[in-house]
Amino acid sequence: MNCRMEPIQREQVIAKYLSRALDADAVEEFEGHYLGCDECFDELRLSKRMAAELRRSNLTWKRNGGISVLQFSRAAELMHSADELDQLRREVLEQSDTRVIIDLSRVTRIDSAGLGQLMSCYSHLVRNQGSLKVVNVTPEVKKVMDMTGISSLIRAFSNEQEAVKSFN
Amino acid sequence: MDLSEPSLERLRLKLRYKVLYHVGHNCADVDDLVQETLSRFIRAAQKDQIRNTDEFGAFINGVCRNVILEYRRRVKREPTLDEDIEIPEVGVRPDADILEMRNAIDSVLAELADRDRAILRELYLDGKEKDEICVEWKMSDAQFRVVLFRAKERFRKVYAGEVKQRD
Repeated sequence: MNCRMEPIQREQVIAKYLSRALDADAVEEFEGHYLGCDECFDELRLSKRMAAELRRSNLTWKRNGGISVLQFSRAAELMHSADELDQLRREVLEQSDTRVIIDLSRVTRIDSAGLGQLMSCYSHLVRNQGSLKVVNVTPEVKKVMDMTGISSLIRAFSNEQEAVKSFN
Repeated sequence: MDLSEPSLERLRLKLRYKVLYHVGHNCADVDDLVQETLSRFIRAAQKDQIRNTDEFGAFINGVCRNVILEYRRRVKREPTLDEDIEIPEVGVRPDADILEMRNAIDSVLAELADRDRAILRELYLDGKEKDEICVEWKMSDAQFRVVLFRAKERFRKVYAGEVKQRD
């Protein structure tokens, strides 16, 4: 490892270090290098933070009146192969909470895969004596939900408090 | 050998990275391990025990490795830390700053195409080889390079100035 190597090669070493895919000798060599090299250390810091942001889920979770509320922290599209579908599945299907609200204010598009995931969450919660409500649905998403009849199963509310009250 | 205050602070930051990498963020003794490494390093430097001062990284890396090994042996012998204790984060910055940077980062992430995000995840989180990724996404080395360094430059701008502070 040295900083005279091609930037792309250095980045690969850094990426492997961060994902713990380097063997012990290579880790030693890289650490021995960056401890004495400011340039490589700065690249490592930057890549580490970038990797942390890439890992960060777009879905945040909070409790409101005993109800789980899920919200997308940045714009999301519930489309085929979007990471958000997988995050939604993990947050709803793999958790024990059965009363869930999903805030769709940042969901700009939805397709059949996204609708399927919402229905899968709904079925899972209902089967477990719970329920799923959605809030702040954008006009684009509302149109698709109305068209497919899903809005007759999953009730939509204009704000979180109304949705929370509806559980009581 | 530069043992000035700024150099030692920089070295302390680097050592923190290495120590955290090996003992994890839940370890309450990270700063002690860093301090012990620095103390041994300074003592060695003052006694002219570092033969090749141009390659002092390898030397201090060895010192740090020993400090971590000794710590692990000690913890194994005398387990004192309650694993359920939550270790508070140090150096928490004001909420407004975090929020502002969070928004900037979110906009950088939003600017990245889904494909670019997936490629970066494979590289940084899954530990995949560049060649493997290029084959999977049917892209050339040059295209891969553009995806990687374009994303890195965007993040570099967000962190510019901020990156000088502690992580």
